[in-house]
Amino acid sequence: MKKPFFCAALCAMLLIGAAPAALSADGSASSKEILDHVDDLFRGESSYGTFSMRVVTEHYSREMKMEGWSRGKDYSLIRILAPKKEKGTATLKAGKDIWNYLPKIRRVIKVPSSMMGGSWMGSHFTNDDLVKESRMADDYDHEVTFRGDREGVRVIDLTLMPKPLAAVVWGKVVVTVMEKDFMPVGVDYFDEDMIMTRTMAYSDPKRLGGRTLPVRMRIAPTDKPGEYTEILYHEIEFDLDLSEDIFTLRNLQK
Amino acid sequence: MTLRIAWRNLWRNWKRTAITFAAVSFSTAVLVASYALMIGWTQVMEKSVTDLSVGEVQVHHPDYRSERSLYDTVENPEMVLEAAAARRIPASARSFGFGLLSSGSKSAGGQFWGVLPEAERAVSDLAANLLEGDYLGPSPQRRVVLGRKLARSLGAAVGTELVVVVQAADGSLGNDIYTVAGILKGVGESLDRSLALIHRQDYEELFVFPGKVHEIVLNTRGAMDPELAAAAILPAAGTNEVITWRRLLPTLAQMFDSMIASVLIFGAIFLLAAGVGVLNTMLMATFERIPEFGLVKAIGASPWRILREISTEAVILGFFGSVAGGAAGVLIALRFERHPLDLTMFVEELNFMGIAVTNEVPFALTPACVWGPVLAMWAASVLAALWPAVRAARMKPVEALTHV
Amino acid sequence: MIVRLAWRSLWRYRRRTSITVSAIAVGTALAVFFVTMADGMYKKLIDEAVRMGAGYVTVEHPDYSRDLSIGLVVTGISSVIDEARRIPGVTGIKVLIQGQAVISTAGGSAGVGIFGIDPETERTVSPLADRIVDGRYLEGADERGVIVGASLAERLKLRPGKKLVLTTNDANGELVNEMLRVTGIFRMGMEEADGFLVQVPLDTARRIFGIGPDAATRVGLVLASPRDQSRVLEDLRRRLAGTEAAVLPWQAVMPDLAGFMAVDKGFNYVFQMIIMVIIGFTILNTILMSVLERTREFATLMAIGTSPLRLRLQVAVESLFLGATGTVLGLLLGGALSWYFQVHGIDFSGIYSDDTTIVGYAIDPLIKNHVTAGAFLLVGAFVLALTLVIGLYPSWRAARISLPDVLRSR
Repeated sequence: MKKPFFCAALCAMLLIGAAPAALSADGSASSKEILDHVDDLFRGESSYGTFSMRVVTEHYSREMKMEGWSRGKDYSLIRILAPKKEKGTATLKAGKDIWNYLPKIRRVIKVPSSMMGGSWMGSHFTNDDLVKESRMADDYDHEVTFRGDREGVRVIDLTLMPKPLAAVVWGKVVVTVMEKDFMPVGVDYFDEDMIMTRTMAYSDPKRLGGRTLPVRMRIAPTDKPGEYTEILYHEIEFDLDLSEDIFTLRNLQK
Repeated sequence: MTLRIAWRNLWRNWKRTAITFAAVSFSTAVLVASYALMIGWTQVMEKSVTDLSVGEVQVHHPDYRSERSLYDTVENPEMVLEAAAARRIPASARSFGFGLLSSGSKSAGGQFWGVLPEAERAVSDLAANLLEGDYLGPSPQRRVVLGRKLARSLGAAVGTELVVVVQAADGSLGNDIYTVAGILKGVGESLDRSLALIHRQDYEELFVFPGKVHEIVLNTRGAMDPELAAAAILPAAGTNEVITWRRLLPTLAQMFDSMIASVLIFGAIFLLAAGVGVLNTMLMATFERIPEFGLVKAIGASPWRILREISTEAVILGFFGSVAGGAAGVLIALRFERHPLDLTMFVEELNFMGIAVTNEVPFALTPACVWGPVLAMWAASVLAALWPAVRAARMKPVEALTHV
Repeated sequence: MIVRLAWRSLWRYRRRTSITVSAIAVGTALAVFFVTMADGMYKKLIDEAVRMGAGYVTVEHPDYSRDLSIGLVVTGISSVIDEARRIPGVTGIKVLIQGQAVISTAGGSAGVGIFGIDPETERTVSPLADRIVDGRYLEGADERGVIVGASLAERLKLRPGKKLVLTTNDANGELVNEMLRVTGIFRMGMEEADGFLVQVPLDTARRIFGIGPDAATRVGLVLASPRDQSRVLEDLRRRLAGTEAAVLPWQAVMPDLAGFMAVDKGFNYVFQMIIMVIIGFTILNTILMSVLERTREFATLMAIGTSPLRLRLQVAVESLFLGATGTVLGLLLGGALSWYFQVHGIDFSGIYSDDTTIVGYAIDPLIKNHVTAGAFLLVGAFVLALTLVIGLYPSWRAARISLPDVLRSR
């Protein structure tokens, strides 16, 4: 499943792009400029960060602490720091492939295409979400559909309709940003019957790694009330000098 | 008196009697044996469905069959198992879960079945259908028995170490190394493609899911009607769904029913063919004797007496013929009940091995298999004699004497 | 002269003749009916599976059966099709591309088996095209159309017109994504099909998997009658000798079903043998009985000077007449009966228990006979041979009668 934003939101270090374009906040920015701004917010030439992920489902809740590295748009590595039982479990993404390292049996497993739809580390993200990131502007036709006050805040709604042949499962995606600085507020995903199926919410803007970012992200499936996955960034650094050796199967096993 | 005359008449023309007797007894014997074979066949068919893996009755969480969720587990499985044990119904609890198996660079998704090997052996014949290697041992040893196609796509043989990764019930990545204990013969497309049979305790550790089962399978192996077995454990089932194999696999059940239907038609055709045989022989034998009856009539016998004599002969002949044939049929059926009929010689050579198919069909003799044909053939022989007898009785002696 | 004598003799003993002929005729008719019914059931059971799958005879890459990989394709299929078309008895040629994929919707995702098919051929050949419960079947122009099973549709909340995203690895191992729209939903009544199979037009499958226009996973031949299978198989093997393609019977492609059917067929052989034995015995008995009754007549004939050879010949010719007439009558009767049930079927819906008819779409409760020349030849040859052999006995016996004994007796 392609979920624009998931990946960018999940781990800032996964992807690259130009540094966020400075947009004028005078209302003249086009919907494309706003989308590109949001897409690029979490991207950098390379990055390192630590974050925690909290997963709540009907059947379990778990909290993990992780660290991650990224280089270019093709390479990233995420390693679990806590809890103790899963410490050392790591995921390497290289191009379209994903490998998992399992410290208990000291083996590296490549995730096959048939398992790409499976959950990543028990969260509401799929393995696919880590790999497939496209720029929203490429797969969707978009336009500003709302500009004004909502709950006392000036926001802009962008409605994204998938292009006719785009390999996208959604019927519609609505992206909401702050009018003043285009900081993302939320993304709502609708199926083809225009029924909302999941939501993504951004909050707690903070200054991290030289940028102002919403450091808390929560994704929740609408058909399973009470369930969510929440990511909270503790630190992020952009544009570091990371060696290629970090993103090798050998390093994955460390 | 009539009896004695009839008896003497039968002996007088012993060749004719022998031929007629042979016709009646042979037909009866063939019918008895074929009916036992047909019933045996339907039993083999039904067992091939239920004994391989499905069982006769299954118990699930009411949503399990539609949702296939890991979390839709059987409520109070112990109570269901106890209820089955109290009725002496063999039962096995199964825990399911999806996961990835890999060996070297090859990997494939599989459906894990966590079972207690001995309990599973009592309800399914998976253990008896190993292509190579062994079944699971009584204790958990991280060993796995694989479906044929799953093993092939993993390039796995007995002894191969497999890395196993699953989405555990607590959201973590369950993982371990398992050794291939055995590989099954072909036991059906979906099992061939996905089955990974492991010990229940191994399952509980791998999936971090202690004490949970998704399915309880009951199989009396034909000792009990599945509906009755289902009813027996229903009080202990609580909110769980209790379902017989016929409801679980309606298509297969229908296919099976149409096979029974065809066997019924076969049986009817056989009865008809055998009946015509007896009828013809008897008709011929009696018609040829019309001149003889004319003679008897000419010397003063009443039409009734002729009718009585002929029918008495037919009754005696039919009785001995069908009873002797019935006895012979029973002997044949019993022989094949003990040593099942091996169909291998009739089946063209299958060049691809590894399919779980029973070539042996044991006959199943039921009382109806015996008395049905015996009565039918007896009746056929008596009826076949009556028609010419009536005609002979009504003829004028002269006519009968010159009758050809 | 002998023929005329035999003919007259048969007419003289009209009743005996009619009983013997009727025994042979009824026996033959029952045997024909039985064999055609067994063929009909066999055909019904495998025909659907074979037509839905890869035909009675399948051409595929020699390694495909061992490693079901999308990269293993038959190339040069246009010449394979040309050759197959020249073989008599081939009624349809299916070109298939088969692969695995994951399909996703906003409602979830599932692993599926993809069949790339030619909609026009499939429509005439496969039962699946007739089992559309919602929407319509594929057409050649449906570039992004897909047919999914009912239970898969339910799980992924799909309806006709809705889109899904298909993810798979192509022939080069590259990950591909493709958006498709559901044109129709089928229900075969088997979970293996309804929850697992999807069909897309052949060209769409070629694009997704990156397979050239003259290649396919399988070429399947659909036949008019299963009895033609080995002949067509041999013929095609000869024609394709030297090419990189394995020509296989459906039994090798669907070993599960083959194992099941092999046992069923073995059982059928046993039953065909039993029915032949029953009618054979009936004929034997009838003829024996008539010989027995005719001892006196033979004796008279010999007493007036008929030579033993002539008598033998006459009786043999009589047997031939009886056998031929009975067999022909029986074949006609059996053929007519079988034909009637081939057209109308024998309805057995009555014997199904109520709970299985809830899902009454699954199996057609009609059992239909399947009349073939082969069945007639088999039964006709057997019965005729049998009557002739049995008929020899009386002719042999006729000439060995001791005159005084017979004329004195009774």
